[in-house]
Amino acid sequence: MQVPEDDRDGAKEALEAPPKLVDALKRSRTAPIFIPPTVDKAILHAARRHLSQPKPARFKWSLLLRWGAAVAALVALLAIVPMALRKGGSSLVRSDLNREGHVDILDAFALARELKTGGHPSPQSDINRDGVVDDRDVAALAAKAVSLGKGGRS
Amino acid sequence: MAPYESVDERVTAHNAADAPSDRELIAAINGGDAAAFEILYFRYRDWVTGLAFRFTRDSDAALDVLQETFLYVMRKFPGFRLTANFKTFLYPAVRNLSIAARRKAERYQASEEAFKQLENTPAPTGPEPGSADLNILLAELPEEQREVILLRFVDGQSLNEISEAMEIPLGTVKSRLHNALQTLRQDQRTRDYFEQ
Repeated sequence: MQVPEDDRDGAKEALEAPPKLVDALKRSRTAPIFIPPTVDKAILHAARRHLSQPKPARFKWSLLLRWGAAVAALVALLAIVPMALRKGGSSLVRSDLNREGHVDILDAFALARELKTGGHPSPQSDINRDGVVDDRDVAALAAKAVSLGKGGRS
Repeated sequence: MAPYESVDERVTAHNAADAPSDRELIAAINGGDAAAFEILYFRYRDWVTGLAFRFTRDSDAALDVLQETFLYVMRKFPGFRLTANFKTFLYPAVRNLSIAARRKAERYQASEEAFKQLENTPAPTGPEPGSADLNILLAELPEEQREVILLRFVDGQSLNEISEAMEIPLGTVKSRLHNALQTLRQDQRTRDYFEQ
């Protein structure tokens, strides 16, 4: 219930005790209890013993988290990088027949020339991976060279 | 720490204006400073004993509660954080340990009702004969009103501190205090205290 503004002083006064009453209340309490010195000594001795105990080593969760994160990152690196290398590497190795370090139309010409002269192209020349190295691989290589030239745009 | 000739000297020194604050002492105790614990102990020892006696009405039980209370406090360290007035922190501990002490004594029924009945028996008269009426009237007040009156005017706790110590809303504190003062104001045995 909200106390009206003009009655707020009255409300506050209702919670105050006159000094005479406060003095009487304090005096009315019984005389202080005698506390034997042995009680003080026992309590303080127990406190000294407790406070002098070495603090138990607290397990540092933050350290575990840091190590965990580092290990997870390392595992991811070891798993992902070789996969990326194999995928990218295999594609490059297969297509870069003249070992220039990049795939272009010359690689297609090189395969076509090899097939025409009755050469024995390596299994890596099986660009379309159908088990046979033939004109279809030349066409696939040419198409790849063109798409790479266009920036891989179809 | 300077040697003291008596416990009274120690208590006085530990409550002097230039003595460290409760928060400073607690920070030191968290660091393992037993001397700081001693200061804190002597600062609150008499208050805890008096409060325990208020609940138990037995000096031996009050001393047991004193020891149990400070053992309880000690076990809070290291790592204790004082979030309120230290008396506000101590009050519920003293009250609960007092209830337990009474049950252990087995002089009365081990029940809250018996404890409250014990609370309502007139307190032993104080050193001043004139306080007998006030004591009797205080004993006749409901326990919760009496406790609020004593915490406010004998222990000097603010209304907010009482609210926190007794774990009741501030409005309830005000209501109990108002009702208790109203009773004292209207009773002929204590009416004179309210006259100018």
